[in-house]
Amino acid sequence: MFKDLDPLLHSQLRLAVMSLLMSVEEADFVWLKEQTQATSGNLSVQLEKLNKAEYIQILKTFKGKYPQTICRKTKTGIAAFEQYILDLKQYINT
Amino acid sequence: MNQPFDQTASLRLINEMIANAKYKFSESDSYYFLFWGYFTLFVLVTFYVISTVLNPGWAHYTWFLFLGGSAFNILINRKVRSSKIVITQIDTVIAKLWKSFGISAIALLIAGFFIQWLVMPVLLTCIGIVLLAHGQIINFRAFQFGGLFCTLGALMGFVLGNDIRQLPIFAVCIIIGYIIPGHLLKAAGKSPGR
Repeated sequence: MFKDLDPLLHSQLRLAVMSLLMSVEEADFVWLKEQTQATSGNLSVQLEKLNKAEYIQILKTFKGKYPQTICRKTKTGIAAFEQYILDLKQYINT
Repeated sequence: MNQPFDQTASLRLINEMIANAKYKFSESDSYYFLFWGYFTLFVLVTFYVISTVLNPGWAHYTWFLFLGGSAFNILINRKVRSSKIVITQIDTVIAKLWKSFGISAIALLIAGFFIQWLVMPVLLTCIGIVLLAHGQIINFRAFQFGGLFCTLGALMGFVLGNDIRQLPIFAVCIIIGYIIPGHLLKAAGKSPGR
């Protein structure tokens, strides 16, 4: 019996963001935008969804005079990502 | 990029993103090496002048200049951290490695009052270990070579014992271990084709 893949992660942009954050300690919004090639609006919406689910933490700060958004994965996010990989393996190995 | 997609595409995307997030050194990483390299040379010259022209007994107080250097390092650290748009696990490992070295170095510089010139080969041994480890972690040969050279310098220093000739050995090691790799790292960090 296959487990359903986490719908929050089984979406291209949110999964891309989580995969990037899994490999780094923290990342700036601009860097995430560059790597995922998403639009600012779409990325903001998806980040907010991940933040609401407590998969990531969003910190709003300033870099000199300019506002800066920093994203970090949370323990819940790490656990969800690991579970997603396990579930994904089940699908792929069959 | 927010529509659902299949499992194979999902796995491919994860691999692609993880590859994108791999550590890449930046120009700002070289600031620490250039600052500490030139600052250490300045301290060594001061040390030499005090021990030959003034009172040799005062020379070891020169090491306290490193406390000022450490304070300046905090400012550099803030600048580098704020200039980075991503901080990888490798950045954190390297920062912890050098922080650990910094703590040992403070203890060693105090020990300089008791072991005199021998503090330099002991310091060089520690620098050699950290440089070699740093070079291997980021796969940067200039640091690996610098680390090995510092280890060799430390060995020569131990052979010389309490002797003022420790100073030129230390200076050459700092040039080869910090200054040259620092400039190479700066150039590599600027290069877009890395």
